[in-house]
Amino acid sequence: MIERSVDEILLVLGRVVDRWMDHADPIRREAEERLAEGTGLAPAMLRLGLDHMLSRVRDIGALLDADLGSRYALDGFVERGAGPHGRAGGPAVRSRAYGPGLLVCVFAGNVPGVPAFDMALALALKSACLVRPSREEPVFAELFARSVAEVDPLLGSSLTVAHWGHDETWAYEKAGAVLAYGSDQSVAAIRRLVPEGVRFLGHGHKISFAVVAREAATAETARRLAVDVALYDQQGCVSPHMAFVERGGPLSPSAFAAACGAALSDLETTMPRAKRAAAEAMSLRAARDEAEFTADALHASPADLAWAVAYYEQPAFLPSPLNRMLRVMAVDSLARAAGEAAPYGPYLQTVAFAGPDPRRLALAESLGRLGASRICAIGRAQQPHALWRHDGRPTAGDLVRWVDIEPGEASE
Amino acid sequence: MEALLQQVFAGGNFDFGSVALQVFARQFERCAAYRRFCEARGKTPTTVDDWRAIPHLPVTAFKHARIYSGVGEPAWYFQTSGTTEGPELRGRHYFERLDLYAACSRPVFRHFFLPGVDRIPMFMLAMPPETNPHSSLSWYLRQQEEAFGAPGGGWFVDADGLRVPALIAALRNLEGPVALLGTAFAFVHLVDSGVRLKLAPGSRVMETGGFKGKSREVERGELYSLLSETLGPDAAYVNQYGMTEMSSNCYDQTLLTGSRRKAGPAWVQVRMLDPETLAEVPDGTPGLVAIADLANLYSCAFLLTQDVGVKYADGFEVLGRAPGAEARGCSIAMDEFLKVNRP
Repeated sequence: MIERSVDEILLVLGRVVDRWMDHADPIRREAEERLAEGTGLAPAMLRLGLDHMLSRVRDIGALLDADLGSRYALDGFVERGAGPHGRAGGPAVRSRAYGPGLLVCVFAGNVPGVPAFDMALALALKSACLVRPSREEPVFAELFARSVAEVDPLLGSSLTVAHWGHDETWAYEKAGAVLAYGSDQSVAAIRRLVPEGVRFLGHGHKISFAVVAREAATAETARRLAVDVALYDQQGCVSPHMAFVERGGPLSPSAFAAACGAALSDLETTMPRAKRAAAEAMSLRAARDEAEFTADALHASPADLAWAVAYYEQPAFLPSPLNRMLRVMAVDSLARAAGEAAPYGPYLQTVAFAGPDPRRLALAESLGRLGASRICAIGRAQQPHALWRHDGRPTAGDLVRWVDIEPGEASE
Repeated sequence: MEALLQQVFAGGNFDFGSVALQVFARQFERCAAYRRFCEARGKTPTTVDDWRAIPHLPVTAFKHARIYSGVGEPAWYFQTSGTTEGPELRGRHYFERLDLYAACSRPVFRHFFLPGVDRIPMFMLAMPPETNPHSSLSWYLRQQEEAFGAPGGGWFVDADGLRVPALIAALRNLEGPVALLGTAFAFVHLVDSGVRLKLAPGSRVMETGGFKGKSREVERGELYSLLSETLGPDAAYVNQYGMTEMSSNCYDQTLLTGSRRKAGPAWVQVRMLDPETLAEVPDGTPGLVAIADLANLYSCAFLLTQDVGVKYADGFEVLGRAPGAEARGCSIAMDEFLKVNRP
């Protein structure tokens, strides 16, 4: 366990983030250079992505307060907060939270900067963190650990980046908790390696989508949605696959689809897509060909597979092959969008919404019941709020264990 | 046009590019779905002067649109086979008449599969056209049987599957070389039956198509080695590359040069295209298989398949169906999603 107060640790993390936010800092420059090389992502997208990911580290204090009642529960016993109806049962229970001691993280994918948050969270929970980065993007975790060590060698020594095989168990044997990202199959495979009694948190594959209420069917909403689609080329679990657009707004769903195409085309100059593997290009080509004969309109980059928007008069829950292919579905009502998503509850994650708040609330009621875990604004899909509960679970809360002290005297 | 193609099929000299452009002009005019596809790419018979620039229609179009360039109503259509997974749409290949189709397949079959052989008993591991009338494979096999079959063969698949005992009995009745022809998955069923035979030298096997969930998947080299245990060491193996959406076929050159690389007739040009730009990739580089089959006069002669292949100076190889891409991140990509959520 790291013998520091939570405030001291957060202060160090703040200084680490300051370094990363300074685009001239050597570590930031090295990261941008090596990540561009390794992931093929455009520099503009990398810069924005790193800013998003690192700025989330600043939110960890607020997240601890929300998840644990108070961040100071990590330093000592604090009174447990009262509920909306006041404190039950007389004198307060005092509680203290302990981090996992060792958090083992297994990352997947090539979205740059993802490991920063979990690595920093482990430190804030006074725990060491052993990281296996993804094969596609092994660079960032190493650099982040180095940046922490440069600011504070003791905290830095609590971070280790290692590469172990997919059937090796040693990494999990000393873990207090294991956090794994990846496909459902790879998450399940890691779960099987984790000893009984070690907390396991798996984030398998998810699908996110957008819903546009008629009031918000505008070119501006289309531009924002295009950014959500373009960032990381739709590889993130928060990236929208499709947009259900309600009829009757300033832009018809069909015109909205065209506006999304225009916006994606514009983004190709400022935020061009990454290089693609041949298999991705083939899958995208096949999906585009299919859409050309099944969709009611196809807006697509003419000379290559840079981007595509397929428009459908009849809505269906049909995911995208990713890599900047968006499906736009016309709906008569927002309830219809929820109806289409209903059979896929366990896969649902982020729903990016544009429209008036009462309608947002109604949509959240029905989608929340199905399994969606996050309703955000269109244009903000890639920047989850500080208090985000990843896949509906308390991000920090799931990693601690509690000790409660009940009031000292037995009541007569 | 038909007369010209008949001459081409008979081995007459012709200029591929100029015939291709004529076929393109005709199909652009007659097939509305293809015309729209071309116009969306700014390609019309007046703007295209090199056959390589003719837009290649994705074969998925046959599932969703009427790809017909004949006059009047089609005399017949062949239908793509579905997989066992789910009620997917099937593509239809329409023919104004079938004589061209018959004329284009026989000389090529003979050249690659029966060099130096006039007739041979043919054992079909496929349903006969009488029970599977819209199968292009059944129709094609019947054409070859009529032209090259010798007594003693027959058809050995019915609605219940491969009739192994009947096939064995018929094979044991014959002494000389025989030909076995059918789908790859039917041959897997034959292997899995555990039967052991010894075919005479000069015997040959032609298999085609994928497994489509109808048998276990077996890599082609493994299938041939398993088959040589089942059929004995003396049979030769030829893979036929064709599809319902094509009229012509390509074959391994095993019986001609010993090469497993495929070749086709002069009226078929096979190129590999970069899936990103659809530009032709250099020899030795994998790409999407694009086929210009001038015998496809009544539908569309210019096809983009979903197969991945590599071209070499002496033929081409088909590596298989383009893989469904897996997401690199934590989102689930469409292909994976469909794999686990088949209706």
